[in-house]
This record gives sequence, C-alpha cells and structure tokens, in this order.
Amino acid sequence: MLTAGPQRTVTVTWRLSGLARGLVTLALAALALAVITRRAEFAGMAAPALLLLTPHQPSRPESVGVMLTVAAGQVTETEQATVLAKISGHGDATLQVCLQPAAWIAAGTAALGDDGWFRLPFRAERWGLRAVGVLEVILRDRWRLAEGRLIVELPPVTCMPLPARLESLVVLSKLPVRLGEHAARATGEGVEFAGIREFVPGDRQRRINWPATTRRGTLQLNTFSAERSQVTVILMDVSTDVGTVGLSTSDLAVRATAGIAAAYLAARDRVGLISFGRQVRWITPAPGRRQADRIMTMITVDHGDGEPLAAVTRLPSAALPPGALIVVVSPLLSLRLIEALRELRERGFATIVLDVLCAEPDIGSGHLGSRDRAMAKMARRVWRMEQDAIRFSLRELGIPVTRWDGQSSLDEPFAPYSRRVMVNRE
Amino acid sequence: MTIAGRVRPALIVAAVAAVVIAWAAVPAGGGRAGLKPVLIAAIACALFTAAGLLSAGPGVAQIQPGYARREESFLSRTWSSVRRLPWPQALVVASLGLEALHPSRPWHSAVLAVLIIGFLLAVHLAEAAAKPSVFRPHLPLLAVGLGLAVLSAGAAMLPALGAASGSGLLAVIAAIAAVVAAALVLPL
Repeated sequence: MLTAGPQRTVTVTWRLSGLARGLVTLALAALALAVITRRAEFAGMAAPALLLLTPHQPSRPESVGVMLTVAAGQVTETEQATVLAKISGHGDATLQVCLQPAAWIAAGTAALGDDGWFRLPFRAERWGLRAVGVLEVILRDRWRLAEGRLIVELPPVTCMPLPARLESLVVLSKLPVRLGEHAARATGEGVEFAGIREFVPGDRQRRINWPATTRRGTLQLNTFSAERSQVTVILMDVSTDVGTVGLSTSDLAVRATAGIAAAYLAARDRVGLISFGRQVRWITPAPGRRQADRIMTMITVDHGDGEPLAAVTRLPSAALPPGALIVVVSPLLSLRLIEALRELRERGFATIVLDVLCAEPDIGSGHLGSRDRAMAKMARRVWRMEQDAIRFSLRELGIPVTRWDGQSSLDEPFAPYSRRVMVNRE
Repeated sequence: MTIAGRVRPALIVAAVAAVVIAWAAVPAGGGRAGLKPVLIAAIACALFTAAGLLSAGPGVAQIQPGYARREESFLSRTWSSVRRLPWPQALVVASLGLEALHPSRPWHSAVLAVLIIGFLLAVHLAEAAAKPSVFRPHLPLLAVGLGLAVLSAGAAMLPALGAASGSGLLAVIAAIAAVVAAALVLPL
C-alpha cells in the first residue's frame, strides 16, 4: 500500500560545479604561468577553459517542488521496498537523485520511470522503527557550471522482524474447551478417529462401525477426538542484549517470537505476548489476524508504555490464562526472569524455554599478560558453569530448556516436544 | 551507484590522468630541476582523484549501527577528509607546472590543454554519473577554444618581436583574461 505525500517546496542552494572549478583553475594557472614564464602558449592553454566558462544562465530555479511516495505499511527484514520521488519546477536543469541511507538501510540505484517518478529501492536490514535516510537531489544547469543541492528527509518505516520458520507445534495434553484445530484427548465432534464404543440410543447411526459390530455382536460406534484450540503465551525476554548486532540475543528473541506467534495464530490458537524488556508489557491472548498485527507491532516498536521492570514483582495474571502453554524466549541472563519462571512453574503452567544465548564474554585481545589471560579464561569458565547451573535448575523444576542458534528453523529445537503432546496439569 | 558501476568511470579518469601526466612530463630528462617532485605530486593527485571516485558515495549500503559510525576509525575519518580535497584541480596545476618546467614547445602545450580539458570533462562525467552526450551544447565552444589554442601555439612559434614589448603585451592580455575569468564565476 502506498500513499503519496503532499508536494513540498524546497529551496535550492546553487554553487560552482566541480567542472567549473577545474576550468577556473586551469584558466588562472595557465594565465599566471604565461605571465611568470613569459610564454604565450600558456595564454593559449587558458582559452578553451575561458570559453567554456562564458555561457551564463541567469534563470536558475530558486526552489523546486518535491513529492514523495513511500511505503506506508510495514516492511519485513531483507524485503525490498521503494521510495518514489517526483521533482517539479526544475526547468531545464538536469537531475541526479540518490538515497543516502540511514543505519541498517541498504540503498539501491535510483531509476527514472517513464511517468517522471524516480524509483529508489531500499532494503531494511534489521527490524525496528527505522529512519530510511535522506533524499539528495543534485540539479545541474545546462552548461554544467553550477549545481544546486537539496536534501529531503524521508519518513521512517517500521521494519518487522523476519519470522523464524516453525511448522510443528508444541501441543498440550489438556486443552481448554474452545473450538480449534488440535485433536484433544476428549472425544467430540472432530474428524480424527479416537476409538469405538457401544451404541447407546440417541447416537448418530451413520457413525456405526459395521465391521466391529459384526465381530462383537452388538452395535459399535466410531468416536472422534474433539478439536480444541490452545492458549499460547510467549514470554519474550529482551531485558539483556548481547552478541553481534543483527544476530544478538534480542534479534534472535524477536525473530523467534514472531515465528512462534505466526505459527500458532495460523493454527487458529489464541496467542498472547509478554514483553520482558526495560518495561513489562503484555497483550492478552486472542486469535486472528488483528492479534498478529498487535503482536508484531509490540515486538517491533517500543512505545515505552509498559510497567517499569523494577516495579514488577510478578508476571501479570491477566496475560496468563489457566491452562496456557508458556513459551519463554530468553538468553536466561536475567535473574528476575529466572525467578518469574520458577513462580510460573509453581502456579502450574506448562512452560518451555527457548534459549537464544549466542555469545560468551569476550576475554580480551592479545595484549593481556599470560596471568591476566589465565584469569580471564577462568572467569569465562565460571560464567559457563553458572549458565549451566541455571539451565540445570530449570530442568529440575520441570521446565525444558532447548537451544536455538538463530539460523535453523524452530522445528529443530522444538522437535522433542512437538512429536508428542506436552503433559500439563490444570 | 554501486561499486561496480563506479569502477569503469574511475578507470577512464585514471587513464586520462595518466595520459595527461605522461604528456606533460616527457621528455623526463629534458626538464629543469624540480621535475621529479612535481611529477610525483601529479601522480599522487591522479591516484587520489581515482580513489575518491571509487570510494563509497551516496547510495551505497551503510549497514552499521549509529554508534559504530560515531566510532569510525581515525583512518576512515582521515580518508574522508582527504578525499574532499580538490585533487583534480591540483592535478591540473601540477601538469601545468610540469609543462612549465620544460623548454617552450607550443604545439605540445596546445595538445596538453586539450588533454586537461578532456580530463576535467571525464571527472565531471564520473561524478555526475552522466553520459558524454550532456556535453553536446559545449561542442561549439570547445571547437572555438581549440581553435584559439592552436592560434596561440602558432603565434608562439613565430619569431619573437622584442622581449620587452611582447611580454608586456602578454601580461596585459593575461591580466584582462584573469579579470574576465573571475567575473564569469563570481555570480555563482
């Protein structure tokens, strides 16, 4: 979806072009040498340059009209988008348009279309509310002696994270009584065969299993699994951010959250989100496309409208309906979050942790002394042991911890839990 | 413009600059003292001109966060400042200096003028990412300018009148031309 902005008038600042400066240099240097060396041929060398400087164009536009058309919706990481620009009122001046990209924006080459619009492709390389950059327009007069320059700031775009791929879902053994697409243990009106039982008056005759009836001598009936929806709450921990920018723990957490939310919402489940960052913000579980938009907006843009992390003593009950599956996406570096997980488990929630820690403390470069280096290595070993202890304690509590490297699909870390239902207690 | 798109114009500019320097410097043994430093300076100017055209300009991906940009290395900041210097103009002055260090050779100087103009036009085409057809309006002026250069070369080959009267006339003409050149660019 594209929206055209209103035309704005931008003042042009004219100055001598590089060509004119070169010609002036040539003319003045040649004339100076002619005088100093008393050689007439140097004066002759100045003649072409002086002649090229003679054309004068008195009417240069003081201002031009700029109309911008940018992607109004959202772009996804690595997805290409286009800024369209139309420059009017430039007379016979030639135009050179380029996009000077902001951080994490890759710009392509501008192309002029038949309709008079310049098309400037760009690609956002990292999620978040991103400034695209500035549009630089260079006007050159007919004789290429003067050039005008103007800069127009482009509006920011919201870049959504690239969702991690997830096809096989983790499903709980006990599902809330809501119509959905997961086959529950209870029998109901689904399509998945669950077993047979004896016919009782009132049952539908078309469900009679005739082979079983023949074998047993009494009327037998096919039963089917009920189809229920699951409530999934994703706890996204972005309170710490370590690792290479673009592949840091926050980047991985955001991409995993986007993938998990999209997969469960596609299965018509109710999905909620708790963002555990500088502030704690949450969205109560709901199904549907609008919920997907709400979740993507929350994980992409930090409006700063949540509860400060220091003021939060426990996770919000409103965002944690009973019987929900809690998927925690975290590098497990925040002790406050570890305590919250312990409390979640005590409250009986089925919880699974996706570990996105992808970096280790840097022990420094080579200029450390051998003693300091040994100490740094030991400190890193202690840190690793602490991390192992945290994960071990969570597993002991009954919270499985599975690791994701950010490259593969999420099916790989979730495989041990998606092949069979995950037992929960209500 | 991408790096690949900038390589070709930069190579053309470098080739033209090499021809200009070579033409101004030959014969290397026939010049006065000081030829070598000026020659080295001219070569450096040509290299910086080509490197400035090659290095990142507008429209190139800058995939790095803001803090990384602020903490740019000293080397990259220095290079950013160096490439802003007017290297093409410096090359023009250096090649004229090379020519001045040689004995008078009017036809050689006229050809050098043509080469320098060609170099300046090539630099402009590379900077503006334009096609040579943008200089179509300049063709009559270029033709007249070259005619004047040829005339001046021919005039310089004529037997000298008197040293005092010729040089005085030349100084007056040169001063008037310098004033005209300044007047032409001042409105800009």
